[in-house]
Amino acid sequence: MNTTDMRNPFAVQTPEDISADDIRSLFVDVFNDFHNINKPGHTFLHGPRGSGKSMMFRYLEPDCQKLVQGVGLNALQFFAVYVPIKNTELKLTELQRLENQNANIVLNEHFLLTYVAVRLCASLLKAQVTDANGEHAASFKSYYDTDLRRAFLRCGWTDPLPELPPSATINNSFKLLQDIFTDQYATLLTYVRRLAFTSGPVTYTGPLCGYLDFLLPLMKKLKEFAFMPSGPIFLLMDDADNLSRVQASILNSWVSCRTSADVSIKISTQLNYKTYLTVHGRTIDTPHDFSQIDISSVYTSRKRGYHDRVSQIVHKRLTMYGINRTPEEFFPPAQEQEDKIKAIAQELKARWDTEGRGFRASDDMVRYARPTYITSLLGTSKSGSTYKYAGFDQLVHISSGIIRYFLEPASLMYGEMRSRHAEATEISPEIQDQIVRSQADQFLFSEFDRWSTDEADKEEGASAKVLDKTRRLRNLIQSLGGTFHQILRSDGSERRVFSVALTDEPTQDVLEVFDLGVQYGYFHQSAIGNKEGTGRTRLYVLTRRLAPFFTLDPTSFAGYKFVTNDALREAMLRPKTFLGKVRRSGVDSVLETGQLALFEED
Amino acid sequence: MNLRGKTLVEWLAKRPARMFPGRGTVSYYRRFQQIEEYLNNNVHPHVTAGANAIDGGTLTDHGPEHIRTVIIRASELLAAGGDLTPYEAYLLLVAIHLHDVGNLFGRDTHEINSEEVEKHLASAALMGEDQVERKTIRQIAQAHGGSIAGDKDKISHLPRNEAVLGHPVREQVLAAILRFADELADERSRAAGFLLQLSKIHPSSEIYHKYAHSLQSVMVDAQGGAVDLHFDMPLDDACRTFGKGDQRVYLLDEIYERTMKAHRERTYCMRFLRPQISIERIDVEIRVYGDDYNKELAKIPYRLQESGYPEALPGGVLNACPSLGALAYGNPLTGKALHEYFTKDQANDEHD
Repeated sequence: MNTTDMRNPFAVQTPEDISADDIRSLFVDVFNDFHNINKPGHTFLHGPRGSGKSMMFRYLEPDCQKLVQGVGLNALQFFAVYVPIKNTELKLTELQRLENQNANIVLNEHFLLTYVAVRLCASLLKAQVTDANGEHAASFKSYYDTDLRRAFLRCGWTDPLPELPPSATINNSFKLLQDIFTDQYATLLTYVRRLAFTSGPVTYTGPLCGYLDFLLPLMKKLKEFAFMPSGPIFLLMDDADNLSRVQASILNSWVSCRTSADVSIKISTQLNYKTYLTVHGRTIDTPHDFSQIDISSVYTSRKRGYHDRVSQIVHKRLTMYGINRTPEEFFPPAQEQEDKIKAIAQELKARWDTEGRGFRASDDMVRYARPTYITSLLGTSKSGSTYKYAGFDQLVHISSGIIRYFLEPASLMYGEMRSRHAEATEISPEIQDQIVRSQADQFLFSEFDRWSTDEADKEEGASAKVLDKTRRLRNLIQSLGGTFHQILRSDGSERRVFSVALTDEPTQDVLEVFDLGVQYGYFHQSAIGNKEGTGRTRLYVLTRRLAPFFTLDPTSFAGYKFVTNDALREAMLRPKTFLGKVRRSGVDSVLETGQLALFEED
Repeated sequence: MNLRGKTLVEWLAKRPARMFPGRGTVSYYRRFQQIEEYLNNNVHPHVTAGANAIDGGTLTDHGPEHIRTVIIRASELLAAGGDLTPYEAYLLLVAIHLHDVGNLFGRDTHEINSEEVEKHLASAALMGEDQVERKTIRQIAQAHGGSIAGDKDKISHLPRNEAVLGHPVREQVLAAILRFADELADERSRAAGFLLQLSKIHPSSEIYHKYAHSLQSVMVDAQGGAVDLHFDMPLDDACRTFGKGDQRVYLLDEIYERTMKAHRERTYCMRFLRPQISIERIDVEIRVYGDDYNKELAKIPYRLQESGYPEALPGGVLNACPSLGALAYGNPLTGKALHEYFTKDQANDEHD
């Protein structure tokens, strides 16, 4: 057994920690789906946690791009600087003390800017610029001693700038510049921490750099050096939800400057970006100021795109670990179950001439065979839980367009398989089913509890309101999941329903609950034509990760039901009553009226 | 803002220290006086000469008198509206003093070259040591001209509201007041009258001095929402051309050009000053005199204002929004082009 066997092919690593070589081997090019990401222009990339945003950003970094394209740095089309927001100290609680005190905007901009500048220098160092005859070092020194020194002075720099010795290599120069910004970052941190011990404003005596008067000219100048690509510098701001409101508005102000030919800002969010206002009091809008990509929308509107991507990722990972199996072979379905479903499908085909409901026999086979099988288990032996959520296709469907929701369970499955067997050349359907079910439970219970507590902690003073919202969200999930299960067991023409579309304008409280659900990946938001055919309306799709929890068929999410705002409110406030009504009166009568009772359910 | 006919400096002198940062421990008026005294004695008198030495030509006055005029114009604008806090008034006044000192190092990008002077003020302990306050002053001063990242709309890049040392500051408003006050600060006193008489103005700068010399009065009627500009032009000046760079131009044409610029500046600055301050028009009157100003030969009045229904821009949306061109690979995205695009697309689909 070699050392690779000890590891797990599906282990989810932080992309930052993955080497350029491994990235080249593991990354599946998705830029056909997300064509704005690697093109000049400011872009927002929205997607839940684990949807592959950071991996995309890592892939764009110069060390990876050089390997992938097999060219030198200056032949690349852009120079990408990875700026993770998650791991920074940009959200220091002390920074909140600046609000309505001293220069909330100016100090936060300097803070954000020095952090970006540190990362820019880190990227330059990581790019390993070669400079055999010292030409680059000499031209950088000339810039450092004149324009850059002046720019620092203009920002209020009072201490003498460190000298750049003539013998310094180009990488020494980048390191020196990085040290200057790191010192500044530390100085500002110290200042901000001092605020904790005083009641009024504290004098700030350090320099203050702005984007337009400092960072942008610096980046433009860097771009002119012969070792740099001629295309723009990309600032890859990863997980920008972690920025405070004022920091987000500062970043928006950077976006509002149409500088994308020189600097393009790529911003990833987990659907909770705090504001689109700039510090100048205007908003930034798509498509005028930036393009926007919602990963979930891309992968829920294209039928095979996501499936193919997962298949390629799994194939690459298996190959890297010397496992020569196709994804379908490695994650086999429960064969006996599939045979029975096939038999039901054949039966439906045979009856289609006389009892068929779809346009073609194959429509009925696809739509009804699996739901009929699941229902048959429930109806006869009361053992619905014996339905096996197994097989590559079914696992892809369950992961709901989020690659991590495939890889994490797959990693657990592999670990479980290895704990039972010396070799894992495939994952048994039993283990697949067991892990997928336990993941669904966790998603609705322990994971839900964890983030809802975090959310409440974040909103000091409003934690009761937050907890009320999370309770409503859990109620809503229970109500809709239970309803969709009822639909699966019904005689309806479409039994694989995961979505609701609103027939009227949702109230603020309902919207807030859905927004929270979208943010944490319990729902995906989309839009469809309204019932009257006069426009479009909101559509919320329940994640298929919860299919095992509610015993649903995950293989399609095309079916949806119209629902009123009142019905949704009832579902959020009184799930038991709601589901009772669904069972007694039928799904449609409850979803499309929604009568509120006088008292809330406990 | 009720200035009771006084200037902003006089108004500032009467504000109690507790209304400024430092809770009464710092006299911001005294600080302003010290800065003013230092600059009036050591810097402002040399700005014009410094620029002339570097750029050649003869710059119109950028000395203490010009600064005083800008302060008067700012005070006149504020007299009709706006309500600055005492601290905002301090920041504005210091910014007015610093806005042109960069000319010491040449006219080009003078608006951003004030750091050397600032450094001297700081080392002489005349300015506060807080860098945020200094940056705020610098930003307000720098927004009076030039461009940032290729964008002339510099005021929009300033924060609308920012707390500086615990006091709210409306940087855009302050920058707009400075910029428009500076625009209105041309007047006869800026011209080098004696040199004009002796014809000793550098030929490339002749017209600037002639323009300033002809500007008889600038009246800000902020209550009435108007600025009145009165020009007097002797017949001799109407009938000859003056040097402007390497060209020669008539004074009347220069007045048209400069008043049009004032109109653009008014339109721009009011974007940030409404509703507190609202100047809606510029009334211009040019009188041509003969016989040593004893006889009025012609009167040319005109009004610059946004009025009536807006004229459509030539070329419509396609000209006004160049970004539309990119959507059609550089061709105009007309209705016909869209039709052809879809027809072609459909034909391709059928062909496939």
